[in-house]
Amino acid sequence: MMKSESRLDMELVGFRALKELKEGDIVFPGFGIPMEVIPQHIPSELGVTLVSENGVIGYGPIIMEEAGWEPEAVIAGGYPVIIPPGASFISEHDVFIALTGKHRIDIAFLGAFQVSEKGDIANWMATKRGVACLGGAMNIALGAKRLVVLMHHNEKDGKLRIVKECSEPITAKGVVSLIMTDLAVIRVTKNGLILEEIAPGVSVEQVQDCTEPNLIVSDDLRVMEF
Amino acid sequence: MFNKIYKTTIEALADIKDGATIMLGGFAGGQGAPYNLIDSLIERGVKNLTVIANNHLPINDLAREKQVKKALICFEGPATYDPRYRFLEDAHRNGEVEVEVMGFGVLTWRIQAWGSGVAGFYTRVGVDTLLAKGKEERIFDGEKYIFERALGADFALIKAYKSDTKGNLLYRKAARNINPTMAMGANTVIVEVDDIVEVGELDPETIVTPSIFVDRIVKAKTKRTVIKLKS
Repeated sequence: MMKSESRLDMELVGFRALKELKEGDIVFPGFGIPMEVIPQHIPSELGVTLVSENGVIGYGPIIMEEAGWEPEAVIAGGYPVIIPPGASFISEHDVFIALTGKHRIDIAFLGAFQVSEKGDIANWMATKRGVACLGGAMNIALGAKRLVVLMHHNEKDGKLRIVKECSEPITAKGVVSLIMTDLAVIRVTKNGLILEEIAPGVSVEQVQDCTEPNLIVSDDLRVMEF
Repeated sequence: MFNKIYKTTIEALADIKDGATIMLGGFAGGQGAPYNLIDSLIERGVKNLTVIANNHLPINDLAREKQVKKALICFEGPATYDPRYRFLEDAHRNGEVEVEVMGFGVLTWRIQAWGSGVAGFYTRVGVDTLLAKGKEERIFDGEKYIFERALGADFALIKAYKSDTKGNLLYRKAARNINPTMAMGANTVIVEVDDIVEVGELDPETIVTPSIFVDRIVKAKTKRTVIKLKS
C-alpha cells in the first residue's frame, strides 16, 4: 500500500492544474479542489475568464474572510467571490449554452469518483449514500474542449478509481483528456492511458499498483512541477 | 385599474390547491430563492405538490412538512450529509417522495421548451448514463441524442431584485440564476422582490423579465441571506 507521506497535498495538484491554462482561456473550475485553488492563484497576465454554473462570468478570487461579501455575489456552492471589472451575470439557462455547446469553454476541471481508461467519468451519484448530486456535471463534461479531472488517485481503503470500466454511475462517456492525482499525471488517449508525470518521491510501480488499467509509461516521463 | 401587487405572500398564493405543480427559483447555495413565498406556501399547508427546483434547498422545508409528492431537481442533497438540509433526501429514501433528477442545463431548457410551446428537444447530455433510461434515443450526424420533454408548471414562485408596478423585473447578481427561465415556464408567475418602484423608473434597456411574463408581485418582508455551503 502506498505510503501516505509520498502523496501530494491536493492543493499542490491544483497548482499543477494551473499550468494547463493558456492565455485568454475561458475556464470552468468545478467543485472541490479546482474551485478552491484555481480562482485564487491564476496569474493575472493570462487574461483568463472564469465561468460559474449559476451564471457568474469573469469572477475573481474566493473571499475567505467572514465579512466583506454580499449574499448575491457568490458562485455555485455558495462561495462568495470578488467581482472584478469586466464581469457579468446571466441566467442559468444562458450559462449552460456556454457550458454545453463545446464552442466556448476551453478547459474544465472536475472532480470524480472514477475515470475509465476510455475517458468515461463518474462523478454525480454518491452510491454509498444513494444521493444524486448532478448539478451541471453532465453538461460541462460534454461541453468543454478539454476536460481535466483532479482527484485522489484511489480511496483511503485502497479502492481503485482509475479503472477499466466505471462501476459508479457515469456522467459522460469518453470525455476526459487528462487525469491529475496526488500521485501522477495521466493522459487519456485512443491507445490507452499514458503516464506522463509522477509526484516527487513516487515510482512508476507504485502508481501502477494503484491503477487498474495498464499504464503506458511516456518516453518523456517527468516529475510533477508546481 | 388592474393591479398585480399583493400586500402579503399568503394572499398571492391563495389559489394554490393540493396537487399543484410549482416551480421554485434559486440555486444550490441558497441565493435567489423566494423564501417568503415558500414560507407562506408551507403556512397554507397545501399537500401532494409536484415541486420543480434546481436543488434541494427551496424544497427542504416543504419536504419536512410532508407537503411534497414529487420533486424534479438537479441536486438532491449536499455532497456531505447535513442534518439541517436532509429532509428531501430522507423522504426520497423512505419512499415518501418520488424524485426525478436531471442536469442544470437540461432543467432550464426543458422549461424553456414548455414556454416556447415545443414538445421537447434532443440532447447529448445524459446519453449512455442512467438518465437515458426510458428516453427515446436518436442518431443525428452519427452521434447519439436522447429526447427530453418540455416541462412547465401551474405556478412559478420566483425571486427578483426589483419590480416596477407593471411587473418588469431586474435581478441581482447571482440571485438571477433560474428565475428568468421559470418566469417563462408557468401559467401563473408570482415574484417576490426586495423593492417595488414606479413605472418609468427602470431603464427599458436593463429589464431582464418583461411585465408580460409576470402575474403577481409581492414585496419580501424578510431577507434571508444565502446559505454558505463551505466554511
